Amino acid sequence: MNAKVLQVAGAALLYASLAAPGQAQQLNLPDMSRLAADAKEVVDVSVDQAMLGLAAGFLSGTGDDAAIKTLLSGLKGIYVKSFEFDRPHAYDPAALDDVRRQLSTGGWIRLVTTRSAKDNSDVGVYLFREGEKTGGLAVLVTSPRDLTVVNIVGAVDLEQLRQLQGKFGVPSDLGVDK
Amino acid sequence: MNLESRLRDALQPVDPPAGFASRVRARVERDMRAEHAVGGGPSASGWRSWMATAAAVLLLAVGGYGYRQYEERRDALAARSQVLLALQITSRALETVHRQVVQADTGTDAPRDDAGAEGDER
Repeated sequence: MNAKVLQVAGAALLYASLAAPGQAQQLNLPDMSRLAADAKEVVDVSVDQAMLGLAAGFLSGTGDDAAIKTLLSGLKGIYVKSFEFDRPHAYDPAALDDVRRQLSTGGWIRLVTTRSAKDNSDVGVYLFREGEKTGGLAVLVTSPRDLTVVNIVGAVDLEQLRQLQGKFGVPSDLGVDK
Repeated sequence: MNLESRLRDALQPVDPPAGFASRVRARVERDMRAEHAVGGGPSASGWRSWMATAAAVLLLAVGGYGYRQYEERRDALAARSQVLLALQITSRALETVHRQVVQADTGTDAPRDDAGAEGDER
């Protein structure tokens, strides 16, 4: 009986150790339902690897679709929460504290953070490094009327990101290099 | 001749001609042999019911497959639009980063941190 318990515990530990690297670059996004109730517009996208595969199947192999398809091929998930409020300071600035805490640990590296006094907005771009490779991307944008968290899990190739630039309004001079 | 006697004459039993029974049996055997020669299967009405059943099964199979295809297509299109929406929001966020970096470069605003720094931003 004890041997069985040990076996189960060992298997659980092994699973946890194997699963941990995949979880680290996936942020544990907090429940933001209270924010959603006050927001004018809410976007909550949660696309896992299976859904990415489905979506990729409906992208053609030419033009912009081909670039997006290539970008998606290395990804394991895309998670976006975005809120727009009709009045300024409608949300608690501490709403993202937990996310920021997660980004300050593990393999996350801050690529750039900026504050605009003009817009009164804060922006942070973070990369999850797995050795020489990028295992994830996180973008936090906060302004008095907006709050956006983007978490892309998987091999975000900055070169592919560069290819994405201009296709969704991404500027062609983002200033990110490998 | 009255009606009664005419009826009696008409309904009077008549013996079959000689060899009638053997001719009937031979005819039945010949027909059965012919059916077996064609395929050994059921009669024409049997074939019709088989065909109807097969058609119904085929219709159900095709219908089920078509519905599965429809569901998969619907899910895939939903996933595709979710992905595109996520990429749009990501690009908008990156656009904000870009704008602020450019503002910082031109001196209209200042970046809070340098690129590549590690640790909490707060």
